Amino acid sequence: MEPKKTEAIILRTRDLGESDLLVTFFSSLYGNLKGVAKGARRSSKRFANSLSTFSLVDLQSRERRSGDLVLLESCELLDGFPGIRSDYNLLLRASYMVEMTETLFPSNVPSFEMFQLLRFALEAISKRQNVDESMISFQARAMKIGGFGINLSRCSRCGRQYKGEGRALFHPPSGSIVCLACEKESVMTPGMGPDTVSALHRVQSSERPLSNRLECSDNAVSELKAVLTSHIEHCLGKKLKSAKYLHPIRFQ
Amino acid sequence: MGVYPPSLGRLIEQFSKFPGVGKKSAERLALYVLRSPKELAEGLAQSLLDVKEKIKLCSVCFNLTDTDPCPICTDQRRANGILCVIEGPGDQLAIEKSGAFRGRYHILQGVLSPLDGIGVEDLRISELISRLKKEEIREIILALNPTVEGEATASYLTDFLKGRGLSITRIALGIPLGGDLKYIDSMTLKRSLDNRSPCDS
Repeated sequence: MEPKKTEAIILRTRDLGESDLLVTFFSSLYGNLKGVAKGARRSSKRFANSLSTFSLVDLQSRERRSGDLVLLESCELLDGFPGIRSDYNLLLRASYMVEMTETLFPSNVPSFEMFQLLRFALEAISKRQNVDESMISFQARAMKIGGFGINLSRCSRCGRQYKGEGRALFHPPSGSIVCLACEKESVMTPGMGPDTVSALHRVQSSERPLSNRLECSDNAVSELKAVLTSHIEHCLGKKLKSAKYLHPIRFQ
Repeated sequence: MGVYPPSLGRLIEQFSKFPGVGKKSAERLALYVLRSPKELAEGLAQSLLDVKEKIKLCSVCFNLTDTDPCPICTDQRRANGILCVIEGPGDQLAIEKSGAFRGRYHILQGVLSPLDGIGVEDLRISELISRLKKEEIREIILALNPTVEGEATASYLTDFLKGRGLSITRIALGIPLGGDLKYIDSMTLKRSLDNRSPCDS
């Protein structure tokens, strides 16, 4: 078997046996893969601190004769995103991004676009560049790349085209907007002003991997958070494990 | 397990439930027990039962112990007012072996790891806070592993504990003794250079 060389982001690691590590990573060429790093916990030379969660690495692996696991041969750290290590709130956001990537892209589904999105999003939050907006942008883009983009062009009930005037509602079961004549605004169908719809449209259709400046009001940011939370939970059919920690408890 | 007598088969099955022990290793261990004197089997069985019955968490530091409070918490020769915060009992053992610390410990029983479903309320953080006043703690040493989760936990605790009149320190990060610069990753090297100390100190 020929060795495969690819850039990858480490999603998870788990101890395996006495000295090995089981590593889950999202690679730019092959998508989400799992591999064994032999002796990674015993020797610091071969994988020198490169197999930490969230790290961007240059990785060489080889397929094994049987089983789904690949064998990791070497790994070089390209960016450890050190900012994430030094702030628990950033760790929470990075964990959410990783969990969303794993859920949207199961094993062996390659997506260079998703790899780039995750890479730029981790870089943005590590450098504390508009953390909230980067998070929203990541959520919207990841859903779009995963095939769950929100239809913002017309009401899913009556088919009326949305021309960027007045409020629209988000309807989770159809993954689309509905007009106020067809539905009432509620927690189940959160509302969006024209500013919000326009910002979401820009993020979904942007050619840049990540737009960390939404250029909209604080109110629009709040509306986007509500819409995306509702959309993600509906499409994935669950609340992500890391989502419940996004507002950490503070002891007195 | 058909080739073995049922009792030996059951022992092999039990050994193979241990982490990192495959079927072959389990067979080797079971055959070793079979060939050994009866005292070894009795001692092993009794130790296994004792561990399950007697070992509990110390109500003060949350270390594994069979007396509550644990011997370290009741040792009058140890320094009061200095608390070393660590992730698990194995870390305490390593620090004790070094002989470099003679204060008290607080074991968090893990680190913050949202991906594994471990949040602030799952660690012994509220117990740490209640110890601060009760034991008149002056210094907290954060001796957490330099993993992403360990460092984020240290950062959370630092933010949380500052402003309480405590001295908060972290164990140093850098090149290990006997290490080779060629094999050290860029992040560790950067930290080592950032945190370099004067030679005459």
